[in-house]
Amino acid sequence: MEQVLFLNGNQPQALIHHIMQVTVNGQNRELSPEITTAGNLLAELKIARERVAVVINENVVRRAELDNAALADGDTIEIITMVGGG
Amino acid sequence: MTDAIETASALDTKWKVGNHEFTSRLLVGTGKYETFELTRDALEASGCEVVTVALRRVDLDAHSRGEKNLLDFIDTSKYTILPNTAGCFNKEDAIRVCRIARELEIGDLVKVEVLSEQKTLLPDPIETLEACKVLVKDGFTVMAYTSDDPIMARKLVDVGVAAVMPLGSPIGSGLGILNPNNIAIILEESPIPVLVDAGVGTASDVAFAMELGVEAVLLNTAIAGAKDAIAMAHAMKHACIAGRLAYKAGRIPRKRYAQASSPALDF
Repeated sequence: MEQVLFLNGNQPQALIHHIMQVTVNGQNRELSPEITTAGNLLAELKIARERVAVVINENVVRRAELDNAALADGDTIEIITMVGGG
Repeated sequence: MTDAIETASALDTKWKVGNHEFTSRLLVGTGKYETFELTRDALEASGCEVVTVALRRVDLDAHSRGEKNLLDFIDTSKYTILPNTAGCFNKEDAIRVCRIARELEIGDLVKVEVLSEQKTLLPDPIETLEACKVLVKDGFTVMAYTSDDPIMARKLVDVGVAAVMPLGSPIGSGLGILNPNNIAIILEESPIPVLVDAGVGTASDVAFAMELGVEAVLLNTAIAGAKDAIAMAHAMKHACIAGRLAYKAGRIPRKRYAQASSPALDF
């Protein structure tokens, strides 16, 4: 609740930065402050990283770099997996 | 149920694409089965070693409800996974999908399919060729889905794909091998494996394709859409082996008139 108030009020930038609005697989999501990387996001969503590839703003993230791939406000994130196909 | 495979491997050589070597000459898609259990069991029954998959967004709502997905049923250490670029209608999308597939760390194989339109789902040859050119340079082992056009197949060979995969007939049509003459010409000219991909309706189509001398057959709907997918998967496995062995054995020439199998009556 505190953070929402900060957003609506005229608070210092540093505090506003704690909440990120991103799009994940077409859904708008608000990320809590501790989620700062693609690796964090997968953990938060309980998605096994062995099963997916992550794309941030059309840049494919190397799997080895998932924990270094920083998320920023406004990012468009795609989490891609294998499905049935011919 | 391994008898047929054992017989085939005793009488046949393995086939190769890129650095990969396979015994089974049937590649099976994972789409359109009624359930994931059926997918798993049909793949098992088919004896295939390579399975195709598509790449799509994780369904976050289904995932959060704890619903199962394909990967809960497919042992990716047991099968070689061949990701496709289904749903791509231009080279940029196909290249993007392959680069995403690479981060799934399931190997270097990709099935490049760049389609032209929804109605026929026929390949767009120009976009396919351009995509393949880039992906080969990127280091992928490219298996190119293409029309049954010998000239197109030659151009794909020239850009360095690892296999050409002409369609038998349109995807999901079940019309079988509509232009065996073109497939034969592609085979005659191709220094790389030729697979028939798409159009198989039933087991005899697979046998027929294999008798033409193609390296392998890729199919999906013919099994997934059969009334009894498991029985059809078995049928496809045996048809594939039968067709391959018949090709290797060498068929007799066709003649206009009869030739008696028994000696003439001499008493």
